[in-house]
Amino acid sequence: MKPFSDNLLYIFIFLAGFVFCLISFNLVQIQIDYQVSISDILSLIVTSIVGIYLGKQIQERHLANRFEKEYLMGEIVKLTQYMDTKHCFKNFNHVNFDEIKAAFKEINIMLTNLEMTVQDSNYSNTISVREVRQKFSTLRRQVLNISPINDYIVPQQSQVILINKEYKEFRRQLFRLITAIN
Amino acid sequence: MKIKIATEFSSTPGARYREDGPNSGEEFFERILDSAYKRAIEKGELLVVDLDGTEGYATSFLDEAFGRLSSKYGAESVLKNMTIISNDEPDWVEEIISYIKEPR
Repeated sequence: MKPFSDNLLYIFIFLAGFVFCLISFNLVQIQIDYQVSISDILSLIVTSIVGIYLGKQIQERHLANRFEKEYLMGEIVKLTQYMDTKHCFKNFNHVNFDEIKAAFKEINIMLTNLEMTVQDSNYSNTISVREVRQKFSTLRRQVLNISPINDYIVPQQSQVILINKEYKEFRRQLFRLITAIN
Repeated sequence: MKIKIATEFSSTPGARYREDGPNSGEEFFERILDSAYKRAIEKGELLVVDLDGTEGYATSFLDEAFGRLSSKYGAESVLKNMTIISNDEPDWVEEIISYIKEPR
């Protein structure tokens, strides 16, 4: 059930409660001799049980949504933190070939997991990892297409500018995902 | 017929050319891929190239190896007679197909 229909349900429960209270209050005020029958009590109990059940279901759904949201955001943060810990992403002027190759592999695996998690979540229609993936592929191609010299990639200054730009774009796309989830 | 790069070539594939360092794409093409492709064609089998199990690939390695294969035998023939397995990094499959379709 979507949040919009949840809201409608809340309004309905509130209105039902309101009408019930109003009637009860009026019965007391005008002192109608009201005989409470077994069927009235039963219907009251059933209504209460249904109300409690619905409330519990809504609460559980909200909790699940919150958990999903926090989990997805946590995965993205984990990815950015991983990049922060890697020396190869700090300075693109002089990059160890094996280190960045392995780091790109790790990020790629994280992105694949993120894509699968998003697909299985409630966010599958609202957010997409496609643009992040595109930026990642461009960045990886720009860095790993340069031939290393003595195990180090030493790009020309113009290439460093492009790589830095692409890296910032990649990170920006990741943060856009967090904003979209939030 | 199947080639697993991690076991039959190296678990740490290098860059494009031999002069870039060990385990280059050029070396992989000349030592393994080219001959395996020829044998597969002769036997009338599909060549399966398994990318999994290595410590990652450089785009230059893949471009050199598969791009050269495509230049030598033609994109259509390579796409028909070879398939790629990449469960670790599934996006490599699409990337390699682009190198085959548009070799350098």
